[in-house]
Amino acid sequence: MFEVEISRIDPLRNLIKALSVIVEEGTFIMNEAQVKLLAMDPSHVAMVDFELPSEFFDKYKCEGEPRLSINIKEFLKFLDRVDRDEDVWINLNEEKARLIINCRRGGHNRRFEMPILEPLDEEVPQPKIFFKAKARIITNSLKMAIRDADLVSEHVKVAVEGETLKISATGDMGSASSEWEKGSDDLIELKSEEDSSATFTLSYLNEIVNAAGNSSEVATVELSTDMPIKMDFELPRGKLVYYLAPCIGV
Amino acid sequence: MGKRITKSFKPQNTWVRQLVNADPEIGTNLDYTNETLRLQARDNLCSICKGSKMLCGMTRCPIVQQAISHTKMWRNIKGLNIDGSSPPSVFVGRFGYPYVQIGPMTPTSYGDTSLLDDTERWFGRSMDEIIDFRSQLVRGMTTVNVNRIDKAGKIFEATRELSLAEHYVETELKLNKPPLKRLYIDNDIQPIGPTAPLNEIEIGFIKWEHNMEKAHYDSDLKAAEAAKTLYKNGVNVNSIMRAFSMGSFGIEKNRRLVPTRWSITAIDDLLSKDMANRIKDYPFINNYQVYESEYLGNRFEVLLIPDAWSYEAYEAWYPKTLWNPSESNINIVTDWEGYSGRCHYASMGGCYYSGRLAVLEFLTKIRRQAKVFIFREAYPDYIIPVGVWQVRENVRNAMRQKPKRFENINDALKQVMNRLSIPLEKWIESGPLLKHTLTQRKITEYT
Repeated sequence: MFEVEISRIDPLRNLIKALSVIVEEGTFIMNEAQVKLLAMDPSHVAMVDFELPSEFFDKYKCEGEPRLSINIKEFLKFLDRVDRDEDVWINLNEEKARLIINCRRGGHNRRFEMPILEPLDEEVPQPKIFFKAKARIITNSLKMAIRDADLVSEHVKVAVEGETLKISATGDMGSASSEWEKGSDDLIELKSEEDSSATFTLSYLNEIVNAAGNSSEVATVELSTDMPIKMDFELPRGKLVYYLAPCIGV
Repeated sequence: MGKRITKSFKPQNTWVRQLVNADPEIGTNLDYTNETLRLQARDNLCSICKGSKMLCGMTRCPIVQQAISHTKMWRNIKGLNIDGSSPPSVFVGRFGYPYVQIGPMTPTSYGDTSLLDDTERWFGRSMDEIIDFRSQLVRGMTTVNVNRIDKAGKIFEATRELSLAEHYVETELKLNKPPLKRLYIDNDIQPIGPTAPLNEIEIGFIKWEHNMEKAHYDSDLKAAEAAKTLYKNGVNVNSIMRAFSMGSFGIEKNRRLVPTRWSITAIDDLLSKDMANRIKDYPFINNYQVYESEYLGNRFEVLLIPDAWSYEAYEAWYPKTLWNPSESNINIVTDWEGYSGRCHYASMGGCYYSGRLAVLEFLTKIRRQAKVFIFREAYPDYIIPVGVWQVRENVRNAMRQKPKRFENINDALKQVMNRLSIPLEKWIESGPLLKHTLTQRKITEYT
């Protein structure tokens, strides 16, 4: 039994959109306190760790620990149909294997049903990485730097060197780079045990930062040389963390 | 006759003319010169054009002309009446679209002639045999507007019936002129033999393929759905293409003729796209696998990697091979798609889709998912383009062989490169997916 109600769809829609850039089919695990999802993209390059506490919703009812496997892109299509000023009420009908989305405005009720999938038994393990550098940065500023890099290359290098955070890319078209010195307006915090740098595929990074940037204003980036990057997008309520594996030998 | 044709050519695309009259600047932008096209194609003009776009500015492709001169075999075709058993075979041209030349093809002999048009049974036949098959077929032709098949007349009706036949059909063609003894060759379609304008056609008893008959009479079934259903019911790809090109399927008012060349790729594409979506539910293969096949001067190496579905096809033309007249440069043409597929036509043409179909047939059969690379090397003994069926059947043959299995990508690639003559670096620099595969780590390695 799982039932939630929410009066503004936008925050939820943005978060689901942020999940959809990585996850095709995902299994949400619900309990009394929160909704959780830990999932990878089909080729196992990126991972997302997502949590939404019950306070995020206006009403939240959950009994036991139901699992909900859905195609995230399809779910997003349904959510896109919901209007901004509509009240939304989502519940899971396990007997019929359907997720039901009800929207209400005035006396007008709309109802969508989408099929749920067999839960995947794929175990998703949490990466165990010791990060050597950590930067807290305004998401918009990060987004700009990634988009700059997208102009010239397919890969981007993220580095913490001494007291600066650096995002740079070089390609046939030329090069682009952004540097934040410690203490600059956009870089809220910078800690590093040693200089670290790693290279990542831009297509992933670009989509992640663009989609997550709609829900989050500040992101914490953690880094180690030639290791996956951890990007923790701070939400008013909830948790949205991405891991992305590096490219080596580009 | 001539009068009718002149009448049917209404001024086309009048809006373009109005637009250009209103603002002459637009007109200059619309003007594609050979130079602009050449700039895009850069130095490997021929392997992009493949005799179809005339990028070099000549009216006839010199390579094709040269290839034709290699074929010296002509049957004795006499008189204006041609009769024999059609395999069955039909052809829809693409020049002058939407007013195209369509017509049936038939040899002058009777009996089971089905082999003459069944590309799926051609694997292993020599180049000479294939040209022999095709030069036996006489093609009658008549002009039809692809969008107005309801008004296309009796010749069209009979040709469409032929395309739905299960077996060979006795056919009599009454031609207006003696057939031109020429061979039309093309990169995508199988060679086409002697051709003449058609006056009348008579066909004997026809038994329709029952699946196709059902799809033909179902006027609410979309053409793509019809093709997929037929394929699932075991109708061979070649027959689906033939019937599809004659506008036999689809929602009644949307039915139209599809030039043979386009229909081949359309069917390859839509069938394999469907399969690609289905294999995404299957688990990855267990190890790295290498398959190979060589036929008609084309070597294919297929590399399967245990990873999510994505596909890259490479085509390398050695100096002085068919589509690379250059003396010293190797041309590699490549195209790729990621997990969610592609929405633009692959620049390397129909063979991209044929290869994809063949590999996906295999993956669907073993119910596994993989990342796929197809490496193709064309050697100088591939003198005449025979059509994309060669790619489809060659890759299908590769997938029938026992694979070599490896535990890591480096060993697998080493095996592939041992069998090919172009070094690994050249392949890596010509397409993005292989490079990405070699450099991108997985998050699961860090848990």
